[in-house]
Amino acid sequence: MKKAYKEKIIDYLYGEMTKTEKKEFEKEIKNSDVLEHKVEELKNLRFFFNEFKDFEAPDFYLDRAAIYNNISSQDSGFSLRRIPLLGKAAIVLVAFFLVLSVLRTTVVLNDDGFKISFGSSIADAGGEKAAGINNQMIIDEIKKYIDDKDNSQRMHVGKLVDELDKRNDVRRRMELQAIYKDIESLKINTQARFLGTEVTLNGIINYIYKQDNIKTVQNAGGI
Amino acid sequence: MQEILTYNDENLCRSICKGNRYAFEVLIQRWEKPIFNLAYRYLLNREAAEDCTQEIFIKLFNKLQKFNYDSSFKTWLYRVATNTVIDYQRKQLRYREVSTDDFVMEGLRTDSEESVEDKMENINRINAVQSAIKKLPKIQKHVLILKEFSGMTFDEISESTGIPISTVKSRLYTALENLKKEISRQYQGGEI
Repeated sequence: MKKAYKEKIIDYLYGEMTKTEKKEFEKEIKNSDVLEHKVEELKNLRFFFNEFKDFEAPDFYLDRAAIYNNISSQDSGFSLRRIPLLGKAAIVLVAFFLVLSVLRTTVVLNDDGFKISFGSSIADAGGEKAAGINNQMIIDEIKKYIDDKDNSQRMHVGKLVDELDKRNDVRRRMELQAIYKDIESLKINTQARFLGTEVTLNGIINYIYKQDNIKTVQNAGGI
Repeated sequence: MQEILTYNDENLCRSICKGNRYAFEVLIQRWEKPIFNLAYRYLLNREAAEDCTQEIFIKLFNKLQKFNYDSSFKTWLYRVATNTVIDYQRKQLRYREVSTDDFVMEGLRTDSEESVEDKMENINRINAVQSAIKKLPKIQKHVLILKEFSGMTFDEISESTGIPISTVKSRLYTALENLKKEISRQYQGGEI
């Protein structure tokens, strides 16, 4: 098949011809059995490509979309600018204590699971002394978290992330992400499919913005 | 903050280069699905595709300062993405073969009224096509995936790959021909 015809067939199959070009080419097809056969074959082949649908992006992409919706709905409705200074201060104080109480309660109630610390050390979150915690214990805790068969730990952290997003608490969310990133660095994220999917793009953000003094488990103290 | 959602890709890039982290998140959100799909078409393994998508976005960020705004962001992104996927594949081959998903059920359009036999037949055909695409020479596979699965125009493919449009078309033709031959071979000389 000559190159010019190959291009013509491609243009025809992919709708790249003008109406006139198409009519002329269809006449040529009618007058040539070889050409007709060739075009039919390739049309049939292309038919199978339609059987492939686009894959849905993994869950963590959808979570990210939810965060954006959350931010945009906040932008369009509630605004701190409309509230007087004293009101702002009161809101900030209430929010601060609410976050503290929510985080503390959620994390510390984790009896035998993964002890996450926000703003304090992992040891503090578990009520233990820093000196009593070593790297191996942290790794063991993370392994427990990964072996989380009934998903309770994951749900737990998921709720925490939701709460932080609701409060637009970027700093604490970053700390949470940093902990995930540390899990990755421990080379055990491949076992943690849920982390693998949930963390990946968050991991990118952390990786790229690591210069922003993001606290990791190691530098949060307590180890 | 909401305004940034309306930015076009090029303006998002400018904003990212000025240090706007949120702009980068918006850009990821906008392109994650097509890029994940592109990676999947090459790697045929969901886990590897997720991993590779991550690498693509990291590389994208690191190279963003070099984007000169002469070409469209889309074609530039796809150039970065395809190069990264190819590198990824090469690296994986060096250490271990990326296993392809046994069968990509999740990627198949299914008609609930189809009989089991029809579904199985369809599955066999799709498997044959997947396996034939895998065997194509690099540039043919490249052009075929960008055209058929990423829905790029010939102009965009030409700009992204740096190959003239007429060559893109002839490569695509050859890819389709090779696919047809390979699939017919798998069906032992039968028609697909």
